Amino acid sequence: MKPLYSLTIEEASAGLKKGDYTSLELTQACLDRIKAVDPKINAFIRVDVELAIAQAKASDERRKLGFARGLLEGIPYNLKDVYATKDSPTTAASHMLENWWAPYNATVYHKLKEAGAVLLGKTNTDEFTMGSSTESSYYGVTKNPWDLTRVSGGSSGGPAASIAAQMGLFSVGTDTGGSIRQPAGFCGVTGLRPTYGRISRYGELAMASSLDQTGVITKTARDAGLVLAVLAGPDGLDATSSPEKVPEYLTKKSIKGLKIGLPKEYFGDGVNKEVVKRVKEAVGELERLGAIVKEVSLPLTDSALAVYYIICPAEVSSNMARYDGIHFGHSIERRKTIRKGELVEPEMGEVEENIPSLYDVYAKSRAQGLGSEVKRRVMLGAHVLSSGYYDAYYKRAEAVRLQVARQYEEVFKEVDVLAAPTSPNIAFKIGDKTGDPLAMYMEDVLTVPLNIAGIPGLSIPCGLVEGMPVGLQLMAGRFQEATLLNVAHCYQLVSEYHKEIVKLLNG
Amino acid sequence: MVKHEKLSWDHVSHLAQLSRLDLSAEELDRTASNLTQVVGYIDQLKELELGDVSGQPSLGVTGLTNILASDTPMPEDDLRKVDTMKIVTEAPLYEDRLFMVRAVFNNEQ
Repeated sequence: MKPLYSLTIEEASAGLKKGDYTSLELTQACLDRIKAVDPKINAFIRVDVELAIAQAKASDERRKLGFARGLLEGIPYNLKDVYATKDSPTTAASHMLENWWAPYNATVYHKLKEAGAVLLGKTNTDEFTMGSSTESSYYGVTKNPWDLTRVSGGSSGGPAASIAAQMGLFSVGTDTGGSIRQPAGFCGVTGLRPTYGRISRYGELAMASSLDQTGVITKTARDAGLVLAVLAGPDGLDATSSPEKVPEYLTKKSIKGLKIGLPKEYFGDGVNKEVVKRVKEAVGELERLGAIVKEVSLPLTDSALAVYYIICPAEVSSNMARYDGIHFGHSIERRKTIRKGELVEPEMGEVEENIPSLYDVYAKSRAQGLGSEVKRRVMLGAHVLSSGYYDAYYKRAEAVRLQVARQYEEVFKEVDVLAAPTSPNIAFKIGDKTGDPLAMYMEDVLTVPLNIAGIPGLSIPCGLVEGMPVGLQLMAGRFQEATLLNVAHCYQLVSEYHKEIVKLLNG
Repeated sequence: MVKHEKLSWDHVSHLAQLSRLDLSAEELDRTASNLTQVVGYIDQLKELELGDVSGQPSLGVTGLTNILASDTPMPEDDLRKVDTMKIVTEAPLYEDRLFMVRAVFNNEQ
């Protein structure tokens, strides 16, 4: 029998239903797996053993009494550490929120709890999700399970690596500029970023509010649909959540006659030739299944990254204003300090005895609590929004954004989905891009345009280059997640890449 | 990409002040170099032919308008409900249900 931690949600759900094993056994298998493997990878910021066991036992109890709540009942998962949870600290991988306990639950956590799923812990991300490699995390980089000298991608590097290394059956994270799809591509797992507004953002620590969206990382497209069905839908606590009807996501339709567009700008000079080859082979597979493939053009693709690095920092600069040293989180006013997770009396020098004014509380608390990438984006945001620059940057970026969105609308009149590489390259080496923010930003060039337009996309593994996974990115029009998931599922029926096990960790 | 003059020390110091970040000289210098590079990149939008965009609305990514909350309190047992006292006690300085802050101006001002 396969080890329990290696099961898909569909398999585990069936096994739990049949009584082959309990949620406690399944959860314990995942916890043991984390203990054995995570010291090498660092996917988790925190593992909540007691909480997980309590939730698993409660799930088994419900099942025994005939009150099982659905397909996620008893299924162990992890959350990217940017969702407010009352049961466990929420850090956003920042020193600013070290040991912060949220005073409420995020809707995402609320829904998963209601569905009976079991929270194993919180996973690593770039600080406040700002980055493409988890290297900006205050808690250290998450290594790629396929090659420990490489990054797992970001910002959802923890979630993606945790699924690749089988430390939980699914993970929930955010995607603002590619933060689910890029790490899913780098780690060889399935990552879905739904339409903006599809899942409530209540309790999700905001980075860029017009771009942020919650999504899922799983082993298969079917599993992604299964979790999406639980998370999707309007929420009175998030005015940007969409009232659009939640359709059936677990469809099994033939893709005969489905029109797939290959946007030529996504296959340009900057993209690794071997990556292009794998992606085209995957598209060839879809063609054999009956899809009609044609080349299309999205001329503003290159401009989308510039638009993103104006709008995103602008929104970051406002969202980060709440970390002020006054309300919560790190503050020079705090008389106790946190060392190794423990609240202790500060040593001399850690507390400023001489605080002349309120400004110093803000500026010193923020300078100590926030990392360099966050500071950079906050200041870039201040630059593009400041008087005299606003029209040239922010306003112009919004105008281009509208045109990028229109280009997608036009192209989706011709084709049903777009297929492209998720990233221009395979996972890069740890440290390769840390000194060069612009090189890091360029990592997002193929994922960002979708966020600019607010449409859904996913990444599924479609081959290997130099022994590292390559992601096939599929995109569709607003609220067309079911189409995306169906295409991905059809591909996974004829491909084995999503079943590739990380050899490194399994000897 | 156009090669840009490095953003001035004064400008970057001003941005740090606007951002409420007390940065060291070394941090300011590094940030100036990084921002110069990024600003050089995003400047490409200035060269894009867009026609007249004045008066063009920004993109509402949801297409939603006038979302109103229902005028009913959240049930007490909903764990998404914010616990007011817990919020106040998260602050480093508070008294009763109030946040405490330093004087806005220092003596020299």
